[in-house]
This record gives sequence, structure tokens and C-alpha cells, in this order.
Amino acid sequence: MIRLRFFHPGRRVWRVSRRSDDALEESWVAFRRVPPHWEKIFSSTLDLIWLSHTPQPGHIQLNDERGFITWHECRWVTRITIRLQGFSAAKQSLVATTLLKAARFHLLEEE
Amino acid sequence: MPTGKASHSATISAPPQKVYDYVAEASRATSFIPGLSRIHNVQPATAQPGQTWEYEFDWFGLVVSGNSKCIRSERPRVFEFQTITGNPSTWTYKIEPNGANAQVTLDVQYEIPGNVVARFASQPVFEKMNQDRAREIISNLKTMLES
Repeated sequence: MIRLRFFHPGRRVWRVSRRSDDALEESWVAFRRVPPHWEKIFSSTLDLIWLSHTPQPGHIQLNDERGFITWHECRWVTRITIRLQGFSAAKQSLVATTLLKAARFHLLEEE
Repeated sequence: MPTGKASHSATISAPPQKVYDYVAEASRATSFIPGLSRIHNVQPATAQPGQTWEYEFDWFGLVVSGNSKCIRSERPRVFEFQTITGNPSTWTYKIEPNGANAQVTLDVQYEIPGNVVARFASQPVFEKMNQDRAREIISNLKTMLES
């Protein structure tokens, strides 16, 4: 059976800006009731795609100066910034997309 | 129901074991398959015949969800699974040594859903879209493992 949904609940995390030169930097906004465990979400995703990193309160540093992920909680939204560098432009884009999917769909699983 | 096949092959600068380990972790597929939004309920955790998982696929704005089942897992040569519900298909990754590198071939055999084709595209266009997607998947896999 194919289940079709035009308005997917994962659409509550939005990319609001994207800038790319040698590095890729994106800003996202996540609408949520309760702040999810962002460190766990992003850390497990980076583990999955074999990118070593160091989690710290409020942000994750990718090892070997490959960039970072930060998040800032406001009342109804979380503002997330990711910066990826030192990879090819294609890989930076794939990693950013993978992290965005994780942010969208972990929100569903935690509700 | 008519069937179609998409196939693409490339050399990846990585050992076959590394390529196999990357594709045989079902949850990792969201990192290189365009439009694949989510993999969950992977059971058991390690690749083996009979392993199952659920998937959600965003097909140009429509969400297609269903179940998949691993039918062949021979490290480091072959990883094969079927999407059982949703749009039935069989995906086969073949990985062969090519010097120190790996020659990776993805074959996807799928049923052509008449209602979707009738609504959104002609059959040749649908087949070309799937062929383009197979090429993109292998290209993304190469990017993730090489750069």
C-alpha cells in the first residue's frame, strides 16, 4: 500500500538561509513545543555517517576543523546554525541535508 | 504490472569492505539516497537476511512510506533488499574489488505503478527519472566515501 501525504509533519524544521563559498553555512528554524535533545540527534547522525566530532553544551564541534553545529533555544523555536568546511562542496551539501533530515524526523519520533 | 530497471556503476576510491559497510547500514541510506526522508524500526540492528525496516520517501512532494526487507547480505560483495509495501522494488548493491578500489553497481528493479504514471508522467519519463536517481545515488555514495 502506498500512503500519500501532501503536508508532511516533518515540515516544521525550515532552512532559512544558506551561504556557500569554501564553507557551507546554513541557518534553520525548528518549531517545537519542547526542545528536543539536539546533541543526541546530531551526534548520532554524525556517528552514522562516520564524521568524528566533539559534543559540548549547546554545540558540536566537528573534529579536524571541519565545522560546527550550534543551537539556541527561544520560547517556541530553536535556531540552528551549521557550518561545514574542509570537504568538497558536494559532500558539504549532502552532510547538511542528512542533518536536516535528522532534525526533522527525530522531532517526530520524540513526540 | 509492468516492471522497469535502473542501473548505474562507478569506481569508488575505497576498499570494498568500507563501501559495503556504508551501504549495508539501513539507517545510513538517508545520507545518499535523494528523497529518502526517514528510515526507522530497523530490526535487528545488523544487516542480515530477514532484517526489516520502515521507510519514508519524498517523491516530488508526495510521501511514499512502506516496509523493506533485506534478502541478501554477503560482506563485502552483495547487499540486496526489497521494498515490500509502498512501491515494490528490489535493490541490489554489487561491490567488486578493482585494485585497491571498489567497483559498485546498483541495480533497481521496480514495478511501474500505472496510477502514478498516468497522473504525473509518461512511462519513459518515469523510467528516465529512476535511471537518473540511480546515477545520483551512486554519485552521492562516491562523494560521501571519497571526499
